[in-house]
Amino acid sequence: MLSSVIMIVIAVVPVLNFVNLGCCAGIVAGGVAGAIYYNNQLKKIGETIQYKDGAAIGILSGFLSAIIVVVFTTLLSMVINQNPIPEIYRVFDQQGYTLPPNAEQFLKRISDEYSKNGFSITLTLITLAIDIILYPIFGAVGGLLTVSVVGKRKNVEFRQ
Amino acid sequence: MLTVALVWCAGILLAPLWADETGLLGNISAFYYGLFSKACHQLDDRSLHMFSHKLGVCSRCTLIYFGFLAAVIVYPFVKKLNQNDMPAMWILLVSAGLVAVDAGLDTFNVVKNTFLTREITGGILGIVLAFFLLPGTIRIFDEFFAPRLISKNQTNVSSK
Repeated sequence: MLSSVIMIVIAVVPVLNFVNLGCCAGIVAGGVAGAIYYNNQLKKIGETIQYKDGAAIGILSGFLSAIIVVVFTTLLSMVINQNPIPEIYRVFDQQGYTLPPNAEQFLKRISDEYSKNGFSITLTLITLAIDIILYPIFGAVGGLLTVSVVGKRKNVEFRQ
Repeated sequence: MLTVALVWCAGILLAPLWADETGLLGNISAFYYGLFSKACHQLDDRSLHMFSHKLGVCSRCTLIYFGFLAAVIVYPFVKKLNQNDMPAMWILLVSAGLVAVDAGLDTFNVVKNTFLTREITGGILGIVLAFFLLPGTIRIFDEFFAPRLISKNQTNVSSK
């Protein structure tokens, strides 16, 4: 839960979400925090976190965060009710960038969906597909790295 | 791990390769650019180019991911797969620190970084990460068939 909260906050808070542009560092941080918290809980009962725990924490919290982030951003765009596509065209024009015909067709479709529904179902589904791949992968990286650090401690042995 | 790294790195190259294509190949390219846009700034002047398009990620990220892939391929020749001890933690911290210093000095206009510094620091981090993540991933499979770890301190307490 802690892991997901960190991933979500870093993903949705403006400026803070730039952290994710560094190889999804915010998502990795979420996985790290979740694994550290779980390890602290396990310590109380005399157990130590394992790699499968770290990976599972990262994957599950990543999956949950991906869904919540997409739902949140979609709801936000519905509340704001502003079509971002004209702004994208303006930026491209300023930079003298010409869009390929299929990209222009795609943006027009998204723009129409924004005008009609207040959000784009196509963009939402694509974002969901992307986030469901990225968040669990980088979450698991964070979880595994944490267990690598914790696992360096030598005071562990197998239960008899 | 090798499969994930291969698919990931293939995407970095396929994005520019199929950028001018229409239909399915063009959509795959667009999907990869979209996927990587969540993990990297993709700035044109900080990216390597291929087929007159930028790669899926910036030059630093490219070297992180390809360094990681190279290390995963080389790993079995350097260390035995069942020998899952990890390098010293300072190696990970130093390699991550190099990236942070290179990016930080550039961000605060102290020293401008170059393609070379970004690629070297990124490449080192990618290689080092593999030596921390691969043993952990291998150990996950062992953990499913082994009893849970317990701390020595707790064993001592329970034996008293």
